[in-house]
Amino acid sequence: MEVTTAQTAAASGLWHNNSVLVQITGLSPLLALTTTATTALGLGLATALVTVSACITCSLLRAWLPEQWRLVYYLAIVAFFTTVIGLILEMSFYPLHRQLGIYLPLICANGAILLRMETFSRHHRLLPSLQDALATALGFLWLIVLLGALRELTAYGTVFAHLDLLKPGRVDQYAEPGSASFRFSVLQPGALIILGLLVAGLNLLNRRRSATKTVAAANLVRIKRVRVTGRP
Amino acid sequence: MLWVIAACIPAIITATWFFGYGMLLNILQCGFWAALLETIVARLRRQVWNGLLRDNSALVSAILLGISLPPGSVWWLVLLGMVFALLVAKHAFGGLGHNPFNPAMCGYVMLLLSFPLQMTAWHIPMAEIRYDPLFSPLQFESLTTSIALAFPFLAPGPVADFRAVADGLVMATPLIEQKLAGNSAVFAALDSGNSLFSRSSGTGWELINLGFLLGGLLLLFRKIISWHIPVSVIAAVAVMSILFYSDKSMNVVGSTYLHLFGSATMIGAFFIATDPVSAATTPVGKIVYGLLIGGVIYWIRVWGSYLDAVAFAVLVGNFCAPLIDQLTLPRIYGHYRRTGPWK
Repeated sequence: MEVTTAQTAAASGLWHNNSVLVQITGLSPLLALTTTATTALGLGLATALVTVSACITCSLLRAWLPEQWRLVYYLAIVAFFTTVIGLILEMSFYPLHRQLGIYLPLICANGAILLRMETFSRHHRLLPSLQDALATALGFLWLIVLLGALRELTAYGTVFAHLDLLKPGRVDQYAEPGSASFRFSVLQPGALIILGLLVAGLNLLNRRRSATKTVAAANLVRIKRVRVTGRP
Repeated sequence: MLWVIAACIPAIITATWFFGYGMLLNILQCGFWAALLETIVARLRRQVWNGLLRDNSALVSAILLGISLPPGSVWWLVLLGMVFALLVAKHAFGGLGHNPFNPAMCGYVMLLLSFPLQMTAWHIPMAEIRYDPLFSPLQFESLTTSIALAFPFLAPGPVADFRAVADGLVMATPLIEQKLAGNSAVFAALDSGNSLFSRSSGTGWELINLGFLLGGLLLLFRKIISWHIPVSVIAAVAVMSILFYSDKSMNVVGSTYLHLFGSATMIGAFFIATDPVSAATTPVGKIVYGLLIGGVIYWIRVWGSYLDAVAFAVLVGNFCAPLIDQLTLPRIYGHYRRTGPWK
């Protein structure tokens, strides 16, 4: 079967090169805002929008980006789109904007976006950049929503309890989540541990998949003993 | 490891005497869950079913956690603590010998952060509220109360929520009522002629600490632990509390005696901080590690928001232990100078 570049990009962004599970980038909003699935979805969508538009812009402007100052230009591009998204959210989705707080402006310091612009968008034309950015953004989105759902489920016993937060509306229509029955998963250590378990699950799946292919080859590989104690 | 368990026995007996069967029940439960979880992990790792139980380290973790939990804890609380201690804090890092943190204290801190209400309610089955001299704390009635508190589904009638009965069944730890415990309750009991072992004289915590001191001395005598860590932990707590002691602020920061014997310092110094896997290992490093733990214990107790700080302090020490080891590498036999990055 012919594997197209779009499929490769999708598989890479969603799974093999997932910005969270494999690269472990962009963790601070991920850990701070995934206490409920709804805020996670909100932040994931905002980050996805910024990622796609910033990568497209970077790809379009790639001929004019000066080599030495490209990081400044990346930050300016991302900051521009972050500000636009932030203003739109503040105007129409004020409850969500209030929940996201400081982490919405912090999207412009998200390492995953800068990494995509640096390694991919500035070398490629519009369409491949769009595919790559979409895959990265969706990879971030599904993981942040999964983490948010897991944390909300373990802490409050609900999933997407405050979904009306995503609708345009007034702030007084939104009820704060009550006290958690399992407070550990609301705290940052709990988030890190759940993320660690997810990464372990990913590694387990990958190992299972590759083990079936290379079980014969693995038997031939001699294990080299490495001295692990003391200085080499 | 069996000697560590043996060294816990005096303190466990004292604690059971003062807090009722709930204490024993906690320890038994923890041991049961530990055995079950270790068997499951052995199965997952394709080992013999009791392969992980033979070194008794899971049993020590279970006993330490069981002593730390308030008596009369519900079974799921105990199970959750053991799951976190053994599966997440120990086996997720690669099993015994690879865990950077003390498993029992990880489980305790997780429970304390998640369930602060349940973890600070020290039940006393029906005894503290009755000052009947003939009433024995270990009679059958308090056993049924403890079982009903631990396993609500076994109780014949509906069990009152522990928050509803809390007023009658709770005794604050001495750090809470440090105004009263500023002087020794043991000496007060001796002076006033009360029995040292009657529960109304409030000597429970001090006797439990003396029990841990006794057990710790046994461990030292058997050369299971070295003197460096316990001595430096106790020294740091003592020096800090002497340094900041004054008559006027005693009600706020507590006396030296309270910090040493009215709290969890002894179990922390002798049993928890000396965990051979997660502690520092070089001789100088052990002293630095102990001083750090003792300092943090006092620091969090007095200037932090938590009442007792042994678990947090031990985790902080565990964080720093690899760095301490790296910085305090001893001179290797046959070499003139110390090796390592800081020569």
